[in-house]
Amino acid sequence: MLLDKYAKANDLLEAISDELDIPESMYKAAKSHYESVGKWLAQEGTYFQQFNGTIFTQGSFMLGTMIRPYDENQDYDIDLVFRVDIPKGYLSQYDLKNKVEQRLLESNVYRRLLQPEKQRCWTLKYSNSERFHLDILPAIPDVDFAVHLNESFKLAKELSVDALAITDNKDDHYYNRHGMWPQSNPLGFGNWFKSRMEERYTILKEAYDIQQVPEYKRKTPLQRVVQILKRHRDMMYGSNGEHKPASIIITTLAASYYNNEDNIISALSRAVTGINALNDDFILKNPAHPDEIFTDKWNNEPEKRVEFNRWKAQLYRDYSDLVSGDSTRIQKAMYSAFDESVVKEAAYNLTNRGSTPSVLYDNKPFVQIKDPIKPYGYSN
Amino acid sequence: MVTVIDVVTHTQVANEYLELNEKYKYLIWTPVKDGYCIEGTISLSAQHRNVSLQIEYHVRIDIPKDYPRTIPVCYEIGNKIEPSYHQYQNGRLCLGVDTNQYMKFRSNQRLLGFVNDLLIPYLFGYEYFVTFGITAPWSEERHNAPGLVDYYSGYFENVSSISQLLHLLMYTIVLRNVYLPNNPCPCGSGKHVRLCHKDKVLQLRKLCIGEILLRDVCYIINNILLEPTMLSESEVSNVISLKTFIDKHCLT
Repeated sequence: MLLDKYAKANDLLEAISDELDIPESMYKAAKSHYESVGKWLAQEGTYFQQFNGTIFTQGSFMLGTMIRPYDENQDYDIDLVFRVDIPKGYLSQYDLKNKVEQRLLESNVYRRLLQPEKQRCWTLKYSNSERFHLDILPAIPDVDFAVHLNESFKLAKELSVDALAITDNKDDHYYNRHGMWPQSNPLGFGNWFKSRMEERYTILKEAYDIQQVPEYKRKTPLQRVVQILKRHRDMMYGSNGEHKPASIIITTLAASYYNNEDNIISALSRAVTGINALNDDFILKNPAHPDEIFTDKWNNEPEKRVEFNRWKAQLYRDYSDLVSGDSTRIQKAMYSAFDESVVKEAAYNLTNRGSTPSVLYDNKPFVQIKDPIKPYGYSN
Repeated sequence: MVTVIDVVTHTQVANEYLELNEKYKYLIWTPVKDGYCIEGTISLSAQHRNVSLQIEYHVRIDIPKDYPRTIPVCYEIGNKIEPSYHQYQNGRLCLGVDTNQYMKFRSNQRLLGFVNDLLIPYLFGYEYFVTFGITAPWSEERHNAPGLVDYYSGYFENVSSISQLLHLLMYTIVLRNVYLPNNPCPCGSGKHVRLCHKDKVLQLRKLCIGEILLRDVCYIINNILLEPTMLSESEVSNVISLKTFIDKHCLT
C-alpha cells in the first residue's frame, strides 16, 4: 500500500529500530535485577512489606521506547519507582528516602552498588561489564493529587488513579512530616502513552501472539518513531547535549500526533510534519499532569527552546532527504540520524531476510461521492 | 467589495495535512523547494448512488506556495490512468474546469475537502470508465474551448450567444470596487444587472480567480476566431473588438 520508495525507507527504519532496541540479554538482566531489588526492599518481615512496597518501571523502559546509549561506554539508565502504601502525614520525604537507603545498606550486594544520594532517587550502579544502573525513586500514593487530576482536569481514572507523591531533597518540605510533597504521575503518563497506540497494539497483538513474540519485542510504529527521533537527537548533539530536547517532550509530541498508523513512515510523516508546524513559542503540558508544563522550564533556560527549534529544523531537513526517493539523499539522512554501524547492520539484516511483510494494512476508508464535477481537458 | 483570500502559513498547511492523513494514512508529507507536496497511495472504497468501487491510485498532490488562493495540482504517478483520459500534457489531472474546481473548493477550503470533493470523484470516474467501459453518470466536459463555453453557459444560464457570455465574463473580471446595480446587464437582456445576472457575477467574483477567467476568455476567443463558423458575422466583429480591448487593457 505504501509507494515503493516509502516502503523501502520503511523497511530500513524498521530494521534500524531493531538495532536501536536494548539487547535481549540486557533487557533480561535489567528485569531480573530490579525485581530482586524490589523483593529485597519489601522482604517478608521488613518495614516496607507491611505497607505493600512494590517496585515498577517508569520512563522509556516502561514505555518500550528505550534505545541503546549513543555512547558505547554509557550506561543504560533504568528508571524505577518504589511505591509504599503509606498515607501522607505519616512520614516526611526524608523519612521515606532514608528508610529506603537503610534497607539497601542492609544488603551486602546493594551496599556496594549504592551511589551517593541524588536529588530524588537512589542509584544502584552495576559492574562496568553489565553497563546499566537502576534509579530508584521512593514514592507514596497521593490520593488528593489523584482526585485533583480527576476533577480539575477530568482525566480518566486510568490516568489519575496512580498519582504519586515523591521525595526530593531540594524541596522546602523535605523534612516536614506534615508538609506538601512533590507530585509525579509516571504511571498515568504510561497509560496515556498506551492509550495513544491502543488500537494498533490490539491489532498487532494477534499477530504477535501467533508468532509468540515476547512482550518487550512487541513494538508499535509509535514506539519505533519515538526511538528514531530520540536517536536522531542524540546524533545531533553527541556528548555536548546540555540543552538538547528532553526525551519526555519528544515522546509526548510523537504520541500526540500518532493516529494508529500501521507503518513507521506514515507515523513519522505525521510526527515530523506536526513537530515542524509547531510555533516557536508553543506550550506543551504533561498529558497526565496538566499542572506540569514541560516547556515552562524553557523560560529560565531559553537555550533549551533555541535548541529545540534547531533540532526541529534539522529533523525536517533530514526527513525531507529521507522521503525524497533519491538514494544519495536517503543515505545522507540515514547517516545524519543514526550511527554508521547501526545503519550498516540494519541494511545487512534487511538484505538477508528480505523485506518482511511486517505491515498489516488497515481497512480502507469510505467516501460517498456527492455532486461530482465533470472532468475536463484539452485534447492534444 | 474586493475579497482577498489569505495565503495560509506552513503551520496551517501542515495541520490540514494531518487532517487529510487521518483518513488517507498512506499519503506522506514530502517537503519540496517550492511549496509543499503530498505523495502516496490513496486507497478507499467509494460509492456513487448504488455503485461501489474499490479505488487505489498512487498520486502526488502539489500544494502551491500561495495555497489556498491557488488550488493544489494532482498527478497520478503509478501509470494507471491512460494519458488520453483528461490530463494535461505534463500529466496534471484535469479534475474539471478550473473555475468549477474553485467553485467546489472555496466552499470548504481544506485539503481533505479538496481530495474528497475533487480528486476522489475524478478517480472514481476513471475507475468507472475502466470497469464498465462507459463514462461515469455525471459525464464529462467536452475538450478545449467548447467545454469551457458549455461550462460557463451552464453556470450563467440564459445567455443568448457566445459573445454575450464573453461580455459577462469580462464584466466579472473588470468588476472591482464599484458595482453599479443599474448598469445594463452584459448578457444583453436589456435588464439592469441587479435584476439579471447579479448573483452569478458576484458569486464568480468572490472566487478571486480573475486571472483564470481572463485566461479562459482569451482561450475561447482565440479558438472561436479560428473557427468563426460558430459565430454570426455581427458576433465576429463583436468578439474582435473585445479581443482588441483585452489586448490593450488587460494583457501586459
